[in-house]
Amino acid sequence: MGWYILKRLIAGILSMIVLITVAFFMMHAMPGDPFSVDDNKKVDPAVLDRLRDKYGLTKPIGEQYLDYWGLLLRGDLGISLKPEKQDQTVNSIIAETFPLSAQIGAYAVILSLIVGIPLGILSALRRGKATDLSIMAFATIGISVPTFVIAILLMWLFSSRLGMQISHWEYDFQHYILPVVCLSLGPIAYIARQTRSSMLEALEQDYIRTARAKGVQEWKVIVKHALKNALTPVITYLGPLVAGLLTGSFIIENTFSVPGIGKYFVESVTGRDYSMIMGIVVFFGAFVVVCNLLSDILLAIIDPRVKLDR
Amino acid sequence: MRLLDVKNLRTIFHIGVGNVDAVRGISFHVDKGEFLGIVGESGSGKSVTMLSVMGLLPEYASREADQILFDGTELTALTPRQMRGVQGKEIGMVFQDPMTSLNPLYTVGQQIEEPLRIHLGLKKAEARQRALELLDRVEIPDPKTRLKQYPHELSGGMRQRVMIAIAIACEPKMIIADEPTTALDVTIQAQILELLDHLKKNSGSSVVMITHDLGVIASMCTRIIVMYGGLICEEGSAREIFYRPKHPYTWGLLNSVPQIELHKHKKLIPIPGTPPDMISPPAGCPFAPRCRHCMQICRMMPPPETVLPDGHRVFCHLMHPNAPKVEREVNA
Repeated sequence: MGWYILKRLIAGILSMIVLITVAFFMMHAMPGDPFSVDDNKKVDPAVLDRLRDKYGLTKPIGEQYLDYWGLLLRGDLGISLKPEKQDQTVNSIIAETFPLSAQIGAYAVILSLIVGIPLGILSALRRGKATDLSIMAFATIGISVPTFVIAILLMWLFSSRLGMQISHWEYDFQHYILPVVCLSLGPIAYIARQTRSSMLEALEQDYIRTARAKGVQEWKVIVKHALKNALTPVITYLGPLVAGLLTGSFIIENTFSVPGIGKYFVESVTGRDYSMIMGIVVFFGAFVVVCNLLSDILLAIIDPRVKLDR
Repeated sequence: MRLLDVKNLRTIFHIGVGNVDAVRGISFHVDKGEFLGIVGESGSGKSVTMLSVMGLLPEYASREADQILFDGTELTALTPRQMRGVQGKEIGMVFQDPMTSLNPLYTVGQQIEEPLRIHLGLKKAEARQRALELLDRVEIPDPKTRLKQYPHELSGGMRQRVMIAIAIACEPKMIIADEPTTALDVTIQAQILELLDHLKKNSGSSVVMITHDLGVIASMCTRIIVMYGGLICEEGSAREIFYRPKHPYTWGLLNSVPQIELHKHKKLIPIPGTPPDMISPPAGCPFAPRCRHCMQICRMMPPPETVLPDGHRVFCHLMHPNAPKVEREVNA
């Protein structure tokens, strides 16, 4: 187990190196730089050149790349290049905004699991009946309707029709509920479908008949014998799901004015905020690597046939 | 003494294309302490018969019977909850494929302990102790280590021994073994059969062995039921079935069993044709289309039961006093 984790961490570091390199050069290959965006058209070009000088953007690209690694290895993600951020460090921006995104994401993960799995089980047990058909209809909608449509519909319903004050962010229940629900609709749908199909498969297995032949109570046959086997694909999905939800969603955070990390990703790309882009790439990348590792370990704990050491 | 008495059992599978009449009104019994063999080819209804008794049919199947009397209890009258008190406690079951019949996510110990805890109400430590003894009884070496292992860490023969340990855990009155050796290597087959025979002799419980291989049960069964097309063809003591078979289908089965010790140049005689389509089963004898001695009446009427003096039952029109006398053709 220890060896396996070490091996996976080394593999993770290798993929991070590739990720950082590709992201760095692609970012610089984009036309323009942080100071050539529209807002700065009225600024004296000489001033802009001095700014470029200050942040080391005039150096050859190879040198900039090595400089970045120098910073990174000291755990420093650099300084935001946007003047309105007033030379805030990327580290501090992430530290300020990530906890809220992660909190909302974590609630969404929990909600997806506690709603998605039971829906999937119910659907499998009532296969072909009205319950099954309505759950699957809901799941199809949940998967195919884009988040922004759901977000705007919910916004309209709760804010304009039900009069909830959610146009600005507050740290209370009624502000959390909509972003959490919005974020979890897709995963709920996916988990329900996945649980249903793997439950149906598990219930067909010979060991279910063995359990029944032992006189095991029906609910135990379903939960202990079928569900545990059926959850394997859901656990595999858990890694990317946690990584995706905890790192925030640009659309959700924008719609519900959540001051999370999600919107910085998009803002930094459109604004060519080099250090912010790289910072978020590094942070999200590491997060995905760790989440996948954790879900693989969880899988090995549940399924003894999964050998981690290979 | 009869342990199980089944009267007019009918089992129907409701599938998309129509209804499959898997078992079409059969009556039989299992005596206390006997080793009964049920023989037939795939689709003859032999497994479904015992699954029907055990109440283990899938949702899309329906079972009807005038009587399924097990040790004084009418099983058809039991609720699913009461039936669970019979499953695993009064009747133990061993299935065909030990590779897939054990839950891959639980240890051997956990799976053996489960019926002990459900039916006998044993505490964890007691159940563990019993499981250890059971592994020993099914002759698994080093039971302490095996108890903590998962099914995938065991060989096929070992897993089948574990299945047997589960089946006998609560000292059932009847053990149903559904082709317990079909998925195993030939050398292991003999060991498993010997084990079943040994356990039966020690415990006094009845064993019902379902198989398509007459050779498998020849040495152990006291009585044999031959099934074809959801009906019983012939039933009698093992001696009667092997030495004085009356039904052309039984003849066919016997002629297709390879015998090593006899003449080298003897040929196996296969039964021509294929089993009947059970969605629209033939009106008469199901074996009629493949029977060498088929008469007109065979295709029109199901054969009546003929009981010979020694309790040997035959379902064949040839048993009628006016029917032509035909002899079993023996391998030449």
